[in-house]
Amino acid sequence: MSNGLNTTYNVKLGHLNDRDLEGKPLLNSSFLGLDELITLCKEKNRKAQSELFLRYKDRLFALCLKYCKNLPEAEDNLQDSFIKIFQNIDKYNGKGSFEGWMKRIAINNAIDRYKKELYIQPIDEQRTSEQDNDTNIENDLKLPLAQLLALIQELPSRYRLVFNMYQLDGYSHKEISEILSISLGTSKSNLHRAKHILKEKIVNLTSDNLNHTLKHG
Amino acid sequence: MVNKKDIGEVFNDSLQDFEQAPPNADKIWDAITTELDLPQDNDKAAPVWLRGAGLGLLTIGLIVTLFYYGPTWFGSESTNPQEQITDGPTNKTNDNDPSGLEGAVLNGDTDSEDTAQPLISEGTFDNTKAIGSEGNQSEVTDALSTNNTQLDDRDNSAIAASESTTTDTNTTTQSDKTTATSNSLQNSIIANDLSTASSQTNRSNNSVTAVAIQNNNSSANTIVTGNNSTVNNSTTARPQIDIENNTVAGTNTKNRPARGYYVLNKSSIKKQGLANTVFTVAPAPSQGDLAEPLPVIALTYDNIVKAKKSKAMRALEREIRTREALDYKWTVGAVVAPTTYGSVTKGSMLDARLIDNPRKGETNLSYGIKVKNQFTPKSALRFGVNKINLGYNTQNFQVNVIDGIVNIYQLTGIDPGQEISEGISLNAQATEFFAANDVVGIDQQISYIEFPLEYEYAVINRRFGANLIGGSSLIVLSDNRIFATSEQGQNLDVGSASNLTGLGYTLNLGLGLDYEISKNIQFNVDPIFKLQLNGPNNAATNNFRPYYFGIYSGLSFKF
Repeated sequence: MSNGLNTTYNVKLGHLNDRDLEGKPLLNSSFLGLDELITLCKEKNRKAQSELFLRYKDRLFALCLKYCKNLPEAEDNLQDSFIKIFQNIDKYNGKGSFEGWMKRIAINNAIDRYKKELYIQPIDEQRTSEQDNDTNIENDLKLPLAQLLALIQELPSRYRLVFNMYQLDGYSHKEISEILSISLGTSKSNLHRAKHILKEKIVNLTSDNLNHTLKHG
Repeated sequence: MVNKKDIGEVFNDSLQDFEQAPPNADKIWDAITTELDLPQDNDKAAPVWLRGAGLGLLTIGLIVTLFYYGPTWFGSESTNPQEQITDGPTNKTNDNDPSGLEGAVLNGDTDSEDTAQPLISEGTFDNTKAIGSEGNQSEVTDALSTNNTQLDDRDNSAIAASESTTTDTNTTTQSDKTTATSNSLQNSIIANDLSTASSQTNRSNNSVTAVAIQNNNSSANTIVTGNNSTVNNSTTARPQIDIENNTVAGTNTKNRPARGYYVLNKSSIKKQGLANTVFTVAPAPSQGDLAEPLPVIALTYDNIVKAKKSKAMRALEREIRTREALDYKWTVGAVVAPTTYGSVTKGSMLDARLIDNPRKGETNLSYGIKVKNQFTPKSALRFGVNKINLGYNTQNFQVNVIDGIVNIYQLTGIDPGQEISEGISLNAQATEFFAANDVVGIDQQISYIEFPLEYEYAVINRRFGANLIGGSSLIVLSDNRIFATSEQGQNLDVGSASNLTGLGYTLNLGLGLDYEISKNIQFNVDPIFKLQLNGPNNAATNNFRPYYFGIYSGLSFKF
């Protein structure tokens, strides 16, 4: 995060109410434990909400970037997710990881977004040639993180969701099929195609890089 | 040997601990707090049955709307061949501008405070507007047919100007956000920030929704005319309500196109001839290492109207509707109602001995006039006058004639008339009828003039409204006849029900569903159950407690 952004944001936090709902001075929220923070958020304490946002925005934004097809959509998803988190935090009963609970909200939000997109966009999936069923690549392959992320974002929406849910967030195919209203076979097939597309793009990228290196020394 | 690994695991390993700060965290936080500060939507509190009823009404409403507006929609979409966005220099032309006002376009440098130039006015014109903008030179060929436009000076309505910039097929305008972060886009990106400003006017004015297409490269401009209406389209892009001035201005809570929550008033789009316009919207690219060429998403008119309204906009609309409720205090309408008669108990109105005979209420058509006074946004008093036509049928009556007296005339609930009661023998027609039919049905025809007085409480107060109705009615008996009916369809008048009172009163409970076809016209469907509190005279003996149930539907005029 840039310094400028930090400055701007901290200035805004300065406007927030420093007292809780009963009018008592609030402790510095940065030192609050997670349970206390959640409790205050349930009381709709704005400063606690801002602290929660500050603590988890980076992790949730990374998640949103993986599930969305570009930066603006990820920002929208992050915004909607936090709104839902704050509006539904009463329903968090303390069982299980709070971060996991928030991540599920963000993922579900991305899935909802995908389902809505179905009505305004033609399905962007395309059949890929699957002559090469091998989805393994060299283990020592090193690509920049941003490039990996961009590759995921370029996947067709449903492939991207299935790939993320199965490969990165540990959902089973059964869960995915239920959540996305697709068959088990479709989920598996989408995952395979996603991997296939990713492999093709990585191979192209590495060969381009190699050519570039050869041309320009 | 090359060491290989599944590509999924490679991604998993690489992205496991990936974190990234959102570049616009402050804006996101602002938007979150704005959203959290809005009043919560209480839709979820509606009971299931109410939602079901709403769904039913929605279906009816859609059919009615389609019927009402269908010819307009489908009839005009094939016209307007000039509706397109083309590239070209920015020469402003105004072919037909009878008032000198139509087609006025502000370029990007125009001060937003300059609010005296209406874009749309009365009349018909096709104009080619060319708009100068800071970064892009473009031309908008726009067919604005304002025959349908109800914006004129007389209405004192708000007219919003649109400042739009379009580009060639590969190039589009940019959102302010995009512009701020990326001036070197390889692919073209768009960005018309479509904002809807709803304005509420007073009762004598029409409410107007204006569509502003703005180029965020320059300051947002909005033009407003009218005494009571003001539409501001500011760069803060926050929804604003100015109830005191009868004014509402709404914009996207986030000033960027990628949000996807465009609110377009369908009629406004049609009126401005944008129906077939294709807006190409691409998500804004990004900063730093995430800046990549991004796909372009085509948004057509049909797609846009399907787009979700933002919560802010829905909250605004609710607020407007609530405020407007008192602008139209009176409602007058005609209603028709299929009405079914019956008893909440098992007895027979005519005689306790008929308890085992099959009986059923008939469904007849009632009609009337309804007047409603809305005295608070949620409460209304309704009254009127209805002609209630009821029918009740008792079957399988075994006819016996003993000493010239037919047993049907001996039923306690039948008044056969003076002659027969005094022992005068039956006329030839009756004698023949009963001689020919051993088993007859007994049909009752009952009519009341009803004067209902009911209280109506609005549960849902939107375009689709739902109300709880409670009250009572005074009913005056206007028709009371009983017929014996044969299987062959012959009828014989055998008198009237002796136990029906001339005056009665009912307890009314029901649900009122309505759909606003326009500001002044409303479609109602009111299923109402009416229990007669003073039953027939011998109700206790015969164990007959009548009710009638009607679905009162019709069109109402609000003023």
